[in-house]
Amino acid sequence: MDEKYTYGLVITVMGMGGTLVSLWFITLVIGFLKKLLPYREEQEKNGKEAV
Amino acid sequence: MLEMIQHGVLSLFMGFGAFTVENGIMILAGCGLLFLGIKKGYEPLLLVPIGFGAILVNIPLAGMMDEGGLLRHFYDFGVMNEVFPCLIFIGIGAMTDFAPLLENPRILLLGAAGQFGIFLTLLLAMGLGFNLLDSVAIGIIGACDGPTSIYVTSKYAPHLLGAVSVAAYSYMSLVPLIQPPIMRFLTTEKERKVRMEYPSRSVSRNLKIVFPIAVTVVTCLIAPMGTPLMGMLMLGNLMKECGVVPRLTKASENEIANIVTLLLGLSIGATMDGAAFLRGQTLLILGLGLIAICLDTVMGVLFGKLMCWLTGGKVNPLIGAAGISAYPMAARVVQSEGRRYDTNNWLLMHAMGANTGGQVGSIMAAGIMLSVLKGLGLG
Repeated sequence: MDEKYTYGLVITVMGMGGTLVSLWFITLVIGFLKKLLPYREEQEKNGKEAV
Repeated sequence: MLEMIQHGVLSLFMGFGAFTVENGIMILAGCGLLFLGIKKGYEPLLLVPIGFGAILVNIPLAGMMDEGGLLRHFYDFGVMNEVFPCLIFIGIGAMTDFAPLLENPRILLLGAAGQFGIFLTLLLAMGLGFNLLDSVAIGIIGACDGPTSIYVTSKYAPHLLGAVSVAAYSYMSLVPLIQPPIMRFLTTEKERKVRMEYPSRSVSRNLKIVFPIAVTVVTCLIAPMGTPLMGMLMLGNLMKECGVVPRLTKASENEIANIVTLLLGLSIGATMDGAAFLRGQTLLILGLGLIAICLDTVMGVLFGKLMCWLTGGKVNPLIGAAGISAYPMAARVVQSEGRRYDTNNWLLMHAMGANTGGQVGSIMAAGIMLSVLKGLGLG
């Protein structure tokens, strides 16, 4: 196969797969952060969670 | 003395002598962009300066884009050095609310599917004879994100900057016309009527503050070449969410974003010189850009259908169309399409979540593409 198309296919596969896997990983990070920093209504209202 | 007056008069009209048909066509094109911006209201903040920049650069002998010319200064400083797209992202970050995404993180995946058009269009462009780096620049129109398109194109194919940025911004403004027919074609009426549970408020302020920092570290470690874009987006968002730098946040949202938008628009318009712009290649790029955004929508909706099936009908596939970066326009399109079939269906919050996911996804896709190119020794 022409080298140009090989490069193109590599970028496409890596790009689509990489974007999907990266964003999936971010969803895991968000899930973890949500457990670590849960929403507590009273604290939010009082502004106690301010950093 | 009479001779001197004669020379003086002639020098006043030299511009007419140097005026070419290409200049005339591009001035008309500039007027067309002004018409779209002023009369039709399509992305006026950008189309007005772009259109006027196109007019200015096609005035012969004015030298606006020659070495030392005014527009050349803007272009070299802001576009070639990639400063303007990054500054714009600070403003975008300061205006973006990631809460809907944090409420329901799984819809972030729709932001990945919404970028697939970039890569499919890249292959298509290569098939049509463009070289690899030009194809990358054309594919990135599918990010549906002006600053990202400009950033990538100025890096790899600056000669295509005018066509790519005009395509990116024009199609972004045409999202309400481009997406609905595709959304209707790919979904059944039953799917379009799926109601999604309204998310309960469950995002703490601390989470909103930590989110931009965590995303910056994670994504930039994965794709370091995307750091300037992701870093600036998340910096803007951090300033907004932490609440301790309201002056910087307001400046990012208003003064910085406005000044940079003006200079960026003029710089893009300045790339539309008739001799360089009026080629068959430009039409091809505009066509491929449209295909890229259509493919993004197709892939987003199909991924939405997959999520609908996997969740037993709890996800409305229409929100997949919002997985592109045109924020918040794509989310509004989803909301209006959903309500067209069920007036009590409120998809806006979910669509906003997918839309912010599309913003992160488009930068991630660009960053990965740049990093892979560098890894292959091409960047």
